[in-house]
Amino acid sequence: MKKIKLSKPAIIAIIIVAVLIVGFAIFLPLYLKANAPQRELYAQEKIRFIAYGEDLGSYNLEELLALEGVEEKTFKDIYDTSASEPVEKTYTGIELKAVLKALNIDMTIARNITFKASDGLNKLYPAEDVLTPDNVFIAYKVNGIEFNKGTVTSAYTQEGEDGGPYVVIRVSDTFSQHRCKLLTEVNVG
Amino acid sequence: MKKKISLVVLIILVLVSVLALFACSPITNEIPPLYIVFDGDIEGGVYSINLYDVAMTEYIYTEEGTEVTGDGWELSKLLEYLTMRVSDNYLFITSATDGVSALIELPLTDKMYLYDDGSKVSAKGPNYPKCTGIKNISEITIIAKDSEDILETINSLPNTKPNLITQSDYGIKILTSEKTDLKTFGESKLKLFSLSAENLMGENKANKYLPNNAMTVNSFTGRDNNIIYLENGDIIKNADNIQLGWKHGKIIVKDTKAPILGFVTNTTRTILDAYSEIKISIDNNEKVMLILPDGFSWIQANALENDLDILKASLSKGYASATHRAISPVALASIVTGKSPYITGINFKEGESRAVLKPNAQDIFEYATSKDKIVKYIEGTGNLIITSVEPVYSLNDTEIYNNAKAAINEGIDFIFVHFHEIDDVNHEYGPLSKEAKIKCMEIDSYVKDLKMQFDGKVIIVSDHGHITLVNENDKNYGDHGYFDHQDMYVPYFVFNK
Repeated sequence: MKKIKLSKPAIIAIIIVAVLIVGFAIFLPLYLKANAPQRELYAQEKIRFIAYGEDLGSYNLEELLALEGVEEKTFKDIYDTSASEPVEKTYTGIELKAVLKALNIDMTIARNITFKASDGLNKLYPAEDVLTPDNVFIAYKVNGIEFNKGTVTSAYTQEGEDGGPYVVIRVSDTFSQHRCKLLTEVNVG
Repeated sequence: MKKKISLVVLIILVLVSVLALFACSPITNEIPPLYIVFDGDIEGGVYSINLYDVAMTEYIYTEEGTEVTGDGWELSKLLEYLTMRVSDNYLFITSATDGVSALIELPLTDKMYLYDDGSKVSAKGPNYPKCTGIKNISEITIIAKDSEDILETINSLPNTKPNLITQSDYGIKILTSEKTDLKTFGESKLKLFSLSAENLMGENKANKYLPNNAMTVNSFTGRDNNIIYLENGDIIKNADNIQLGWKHGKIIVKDTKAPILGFVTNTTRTILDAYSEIKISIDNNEKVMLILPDGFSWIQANALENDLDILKASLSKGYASATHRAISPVALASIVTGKSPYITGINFKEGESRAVLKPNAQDIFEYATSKDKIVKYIEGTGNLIITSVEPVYSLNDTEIYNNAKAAINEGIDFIFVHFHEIDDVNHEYGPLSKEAKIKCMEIDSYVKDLKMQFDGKVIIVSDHGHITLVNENDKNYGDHGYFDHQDMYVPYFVFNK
């Protein structure tokens, strides 16, 4: 076998490439591991439904839309926080009232509904707000675009918004701070 | 053979990449930059200029009978790069070596130059007193002759809330419970120096200043019981004797170099003290209840002195100062951990989306639980931060009151009650509105009843105050988070068993 003689710069170049590859191999898994919790926050595609302590199971959007009486709706709402100027946007979602009905939840005895988000946020709405027609929605699109699944602290300045895949919106709210982004659980009590 | 070709191709690719990298940083024979920093009362606070980007001019002066010629940069030309806060200013040239400084009136009546003094910048003013010949200049500070002019400028800015200094980038705020003062950056820097001599050369006057290395917080603010609020969210209590310095156009804590946002004065108490107050009760096996009427202000406790039974100023232990920013999640995290926003990691800049976060410190619920205490945390319609104990949620303040009563009846050791509606009404109508008065009286009656029923220590502390503002329709409303005396001072009550 013929011996290959490498010049000094070639050896240096090979060493540099080798170091880069090793560095990449070491740091990529660490980077992915460090970001896993953040990615998980936005990866939740299913919403769990609980009524009076009973777990009714978890549903993704396709399954929710397949429930009897549940349909996609568009609605307008003002996006207005203390940090932003009010702006009207068009949202796409499903009416929560229809979902609860399809799941045979007895809303006549319900007092309130707690929404839980994957980042630990909880929001409580009175049951009557949910029962008001065209008031409380599980939204999944804003201005026709899916909610941003990343953390964008300045999202209010954009056409879209963060907090996806699902955001609970109460249309009757004057401000937007009662919304529940990153929705993972609906608990009727 | 194939292997060999592949290897050669790989090597060529790598070499090309490496060469491309080197090509990105070409070796040049350009003159190294020579920067001069301007700061003080200018737009942006700090402005840095590479003198070699500016055209030089020749200057001639006589020194000990000999005519000297040199190249330099005309100071008045450099000043054209700056936007001054107001028109009437001083120039304050400071030496990096010993801090010796010269103060000169603007506009300059004769030419002054900066020149390259061996990679350092020095000043030359042929027709100015000798004290202006500062060597090795660290910076040139623009000082407004009358800081009141700056206040007028702020209040005349479009979108500035009336009578409210919202822009902390204009200077350092010094708060008392009655008012908010602003010491402009120029004025602040000048406070760190003492006048040493006045010199005249013809019509041109210049004052020599020497650094006052022992400038303490209480000398700076002129008040006692100072609390320092750092730009990073940290809070330093009992700061009267802490020494101050100056760096990059900001007042800093001399030892740590941390930039200061402002000072709260005439108090040794912050809302963070509630944590240790609760801890003492837990350690003493005493039941304890903390009531947090969100947004209830010191100005309200005073204004409603004759309308309230418990929440009136005269029954409080005085006021405490809030966190900055004085907004609920930031303040709540600090109350439940006893740590500043810098430590809790929960702080939000204006305009930043408020995520629900877990503080980077043990909360009081976890501490109580570790001491085998039964805990109940009664919240409104949602959580603002993530705590070690899941709150009991309530639809409104009446439900919060009922849940608190139930907790008392259950014999809970530590109850944390967070009322919200004073804040809501303050936002909508302003803290001194009749609507706010009615809401405060309602919450006062709840607090009175809870205090009567509870067999233990009761601590009442708010998270922030409120400022009355006027909207475009001339309607009053409230807001907070401005580092103003109205939102930073809150009442602090402790009723022992």
